Amino acid sequence: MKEEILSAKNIEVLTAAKKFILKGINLQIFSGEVLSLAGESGSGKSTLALALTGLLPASLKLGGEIIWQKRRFDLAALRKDTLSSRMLHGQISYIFQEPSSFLNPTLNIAAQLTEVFIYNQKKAYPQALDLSRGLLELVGIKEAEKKLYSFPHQLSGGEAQRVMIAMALAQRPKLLIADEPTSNLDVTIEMEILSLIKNMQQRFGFAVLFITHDLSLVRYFSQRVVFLKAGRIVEESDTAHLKDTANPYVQSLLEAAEALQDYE
Amino acid sequence: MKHLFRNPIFLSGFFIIFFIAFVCVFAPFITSYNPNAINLKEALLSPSSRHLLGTDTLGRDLLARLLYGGRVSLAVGFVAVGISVLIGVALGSIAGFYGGVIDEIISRFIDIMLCFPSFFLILSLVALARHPSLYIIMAIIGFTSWMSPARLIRAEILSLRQRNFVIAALSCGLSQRRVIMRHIIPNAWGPVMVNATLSMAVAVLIESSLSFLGLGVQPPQASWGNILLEAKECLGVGWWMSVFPGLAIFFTVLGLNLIGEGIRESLHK
Repeated sequence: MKEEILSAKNIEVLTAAKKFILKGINLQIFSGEVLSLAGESGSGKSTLALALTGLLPASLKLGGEIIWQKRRFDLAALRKDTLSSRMLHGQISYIFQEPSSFLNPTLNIAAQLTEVFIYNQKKAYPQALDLSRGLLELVGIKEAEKKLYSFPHQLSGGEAQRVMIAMALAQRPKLLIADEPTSNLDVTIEMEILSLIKNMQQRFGFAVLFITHDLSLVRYFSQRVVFLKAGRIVEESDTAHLKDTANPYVQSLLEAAEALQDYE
Repeated sequence: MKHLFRNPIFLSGFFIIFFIAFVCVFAPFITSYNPNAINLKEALLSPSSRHLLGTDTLGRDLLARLLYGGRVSLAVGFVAVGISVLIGVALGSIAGFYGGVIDEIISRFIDIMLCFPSFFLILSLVALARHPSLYIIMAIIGFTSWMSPARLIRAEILSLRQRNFVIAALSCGLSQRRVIMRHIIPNAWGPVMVNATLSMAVAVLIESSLSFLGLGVQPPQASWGNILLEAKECLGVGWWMSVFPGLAIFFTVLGLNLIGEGIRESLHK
C-alpha cells in the first residue's frame, strides 16, 4: 500500500452570503500518484485546489482540515498562521491555467525564478541564477539564457507555462497541483506540456493533483479520478474502470467527451 | 517607459523641468553674482545686459536670486513629496494588504487628516515652529500630504492582491512582506507616480505661498515666494521683480503637471 501524503477531511467553502461552494469534501492523495479531479465548469475544482492550502480570498469562509505528511492543519487557522502556510507552500506547488497572468509583469523571469532559491532556500544569487538556468533547460525552454532576462509579456503561452513548471519544480515539491494547465494552449503544445509534467513526475517522484474537464486527458494521465459536481464529490474510481460506471453524471461527461471525439 | 518618452505631453513637461532644474543646479556657472550681495548703488535697476533680469530694492541681482531660490523651491517640492509618498505607500499598502481592523484604523486616520484644510494646518504648524528651518518646512509639507498617495495605493493593492501572480507568489511560500514589496507595490507604482508629480507642483506652490506670507524661507536666503514678497512693496516701479519669479513658479507647476498628465496617459495605453 502506498503512503498517503495528503488527506483532506470535510472541506467546506462558503461565500459571505453562506452559500456553499464546496461541501463535505474528503480526499486522499498517495505519494507518487496522479489523481485527477474532473467536473464541469463551476463545479468547484479550482476553488478546491486553492482551498487545500488556504489560498482563497479572505471573503470566502473556509472549513475543514488537511493532514499533510501526518501533520494536521486546520484550514481556517492556516490562513492566519503564516509560518505553517509558508511551510506548506514550500512543499506543495501550483501551476495554473492562463500561466502568463501568474507571472509578475514588472519583473523578468530571472528575478522571479531566483526568488524561490534566494528567499526560501537561502542560496546566493549566482548559484540561484545557475539553478534557474538549469531548470529552464530542464523544462525544455530554448535559449534559456536569453529567456532568463525576458519579461512575461515576451513569452508565448507555452513558454510561460514551462516557466511556471520550472518555478514549481524549484521548490522540490512533494505534491504538484496542476489546475487545468493546458486549457489555454493549442493541442500540440498541450501534449508537450502534459508529457513534460509526466516526465518530471517520474523523475522527481512527486504526486500530482491534476484538475481538468477533459476526460480523455484524465485517462491518459492518471490512475485515479474524482468527480466533482456542484461542490460535492459524486464519484471516485480507477481510470481503467471508468467505462463501467453507473453514475449518470460521469456517464454524461463520458458521452460528451466521446461525442466531441467523433466530431473531430 | 518607451511609451513615456514618445508622449509629447510628458516630453514637454520633462524638458521644462529639466531646464529649470539644470539652470538652478548649475547656477554658479550661469551667473557670477552672489544672490545675497547687497549693492545699494545698483538698487532697482531694470533688466539690462549687466543684470539680465534687473536688480531688487537692495541691489541684488534678480537672476542670481531666482536661480539660487529655485534650488530651495525645487528641493522643498522634491523632499516633501518624497516624505509624503514614503508614508503614504507604507500606510496604504499595510491597510490594503492586511485589511480588517488594521485597514479600518488607517483609513479612518486618513479621513481624520483629510478633514483639516491642509494649507491652514500647515500654516499653524509652521507658526508653531516659530522660525522654521528649511528641513522643518519640508517635513511639515510632507507630513500633511501623505493621505492621497495612501488612499491611492490602498485601492490599487485591494485589486492587485486578488490578481493571479500574487496568488502564485504566495503559493511559492514567499513571506507576505516579500510579496508586498516585490510583487504588489511595483505594480501599483504608476498611479502613485502620477499623484507624486502633481503633488510636487502643489508642494512648490505651498512653499511659495508660505514664503510669500513671510512664514517660509527666511531672508536673506532667497526663495521664489519671498522674492515675490519683497516685490509686492514696489509693484509699480519694479515690474521685473514680480513677473520673473511669478513666471518661474508658473512654469515649474506647468511642467510638473504636464509630466503627471503624460505619465497618466501612457499608463492607459
